[in-house]
Amino acid sequence: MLDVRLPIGWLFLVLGVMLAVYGYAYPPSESMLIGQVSLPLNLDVPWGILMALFGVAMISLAQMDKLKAMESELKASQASAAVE
Amino acid sequence: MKTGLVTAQPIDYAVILIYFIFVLGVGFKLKKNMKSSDDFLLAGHRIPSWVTGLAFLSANLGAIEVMGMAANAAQYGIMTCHFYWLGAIPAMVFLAVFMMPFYYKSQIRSVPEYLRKRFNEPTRALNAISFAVMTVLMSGINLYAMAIVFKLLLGWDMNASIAVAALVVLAYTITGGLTSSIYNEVLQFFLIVFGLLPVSILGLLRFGSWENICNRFENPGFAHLWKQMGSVQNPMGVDMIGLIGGLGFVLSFGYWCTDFLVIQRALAAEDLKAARMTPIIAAFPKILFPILTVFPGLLAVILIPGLGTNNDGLSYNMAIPYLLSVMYPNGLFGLGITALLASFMSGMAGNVTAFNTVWTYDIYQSYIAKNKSDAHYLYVGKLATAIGIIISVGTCYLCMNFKSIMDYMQLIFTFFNAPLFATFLLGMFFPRTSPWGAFYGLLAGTMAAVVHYVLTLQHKLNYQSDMAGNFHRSVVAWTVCLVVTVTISYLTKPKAREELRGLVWGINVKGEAAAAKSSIFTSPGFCGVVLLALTAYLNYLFF
Repeated sequence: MLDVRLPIGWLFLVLGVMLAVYGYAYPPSESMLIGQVSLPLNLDVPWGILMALFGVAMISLAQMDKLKAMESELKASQASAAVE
Repeated sequence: MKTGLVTAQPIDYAVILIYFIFVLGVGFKLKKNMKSSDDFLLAGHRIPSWVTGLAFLSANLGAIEVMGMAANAAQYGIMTCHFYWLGAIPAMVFLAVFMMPFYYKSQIRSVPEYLRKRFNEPTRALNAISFAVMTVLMSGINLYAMAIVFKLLLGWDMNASIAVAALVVLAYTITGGLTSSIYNEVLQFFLIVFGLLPVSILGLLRFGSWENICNRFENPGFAHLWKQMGSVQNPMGVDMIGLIGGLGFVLSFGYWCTDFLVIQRALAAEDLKAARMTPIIAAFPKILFPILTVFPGLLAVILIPGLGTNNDGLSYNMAIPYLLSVMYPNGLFGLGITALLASFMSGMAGNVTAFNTVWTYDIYQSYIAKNKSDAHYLYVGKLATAIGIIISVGTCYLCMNFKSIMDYMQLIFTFFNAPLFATFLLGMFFPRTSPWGAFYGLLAGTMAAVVHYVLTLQHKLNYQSDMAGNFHRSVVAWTVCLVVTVTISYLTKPKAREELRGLVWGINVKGEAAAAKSSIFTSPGFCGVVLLALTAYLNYLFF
């Protein structure tokens, strides 16, 4: 069955890259009020990168589990072949 | 393109579109696994606990949680956290430690089925019908909330928004069943976190500290959980009986311990331990959820002048959508809107997948068409999904007549969940409870809630707020159910002890093997104690 981490990972990777690229290409014209001062914070870029990293982490975890499952299957088949 | 409050850019629409593609893709990818009614309606009992845990949390993370809790915070202040730190967390721990073993080990497919095994067919039928009605009434809230947000923010036509969202939910639930709904709930959980967390971060950056935020409240009671609980002159207008008895005990335990919508997620787990850990895994992030829901509501009171006046759509319900419109740049705004959209669709899908199971197994298979093939029930389950969504669209228009979605939801809970919790408590922990005692008790409790509501509408019973009325109504419904159940149980014949094996506390199944010993640190009991200690600390911190 489908590992739920794969669609989550790919969705966040795609959305994260989109946000980061958009934020880099079109920085907001208005500054953001932080405390008593206005700062030119372009939130799309750091948040997009964070989302993309989360996406990569989810995909990697899913792939690692898939590899582990394949490895244990291989070991099991080798063990049964040795018994025969 | 600006007809709403915000000028959405193509990037915002692109984020929504990509989300739709993934949601539908998950449904179609899972379609080939839906071979039996068990696969479709119960997810084949093969989902790991971290997935069921997050789905357990997310099934409750619909419009009510996200928009309703923020609205409550804007209206009543941080006392809204009582829904989490007084109500939800202790109830989830109680479910994991005491009730889940009965649910899972009795191999039931739904909560009404437990009532049939423990009591009798009439009690099951009463619960199944009332639950089916409740889920479709609740499901409509999500569609309504979504339509109103998109109309105010983006100027979208409400009917078109409702139709598109209903069609997408129909597509992914009818193809992938409960598994698809659970997977999309997990997806939605992360979207909500990433989509709404920047609001709280930006709020903290702007004001510098919690103290600076508290200093901006006109009502100092907005910053305290318990300080003004000595009288009903607190922001929520509720007394100790209403708060602790109504919210902390009856409504919260009634919802988290008996509502099939959330229990169904735990029953989909791969084994008993995973099922017991499901509420525990959900409770850890749940403790912190006020950061995403209550905190933005508090920020909205300060940042949005005129919130709650209902002028130009400035209702409390719109606290989070308005914050997204003023705080987020384009791109991130699309993500925030997508997170809201995901929560609405997921909340609706959760209700619909619970409805189709109860309809198929507890009503159709039990009373309308027994002994049909599994393929027949699979077809009926899919048909029930489609019909549930169509009815939800109808109830969505019903919600429009209520001024607050939270009032509407709590009202429904007082009718159905409050008395049901008394039935379950007695059923699981009091062997003397008889089948007819349970039936008449449940009926009497529900009727008591209805009578109480009518008296409130006629102003013969008056409360400081609608919320206080709901809390007291739930205590009345629970108490009436408890008293009537116990009284009739002593007048009628209980079930033989042999029939109660595995269904009642202290009466185990013969020859049942003791659970395998595992590390204490991963046991539901230990995790529950940690959760309760954390919750107590948070109550102290924001006293």
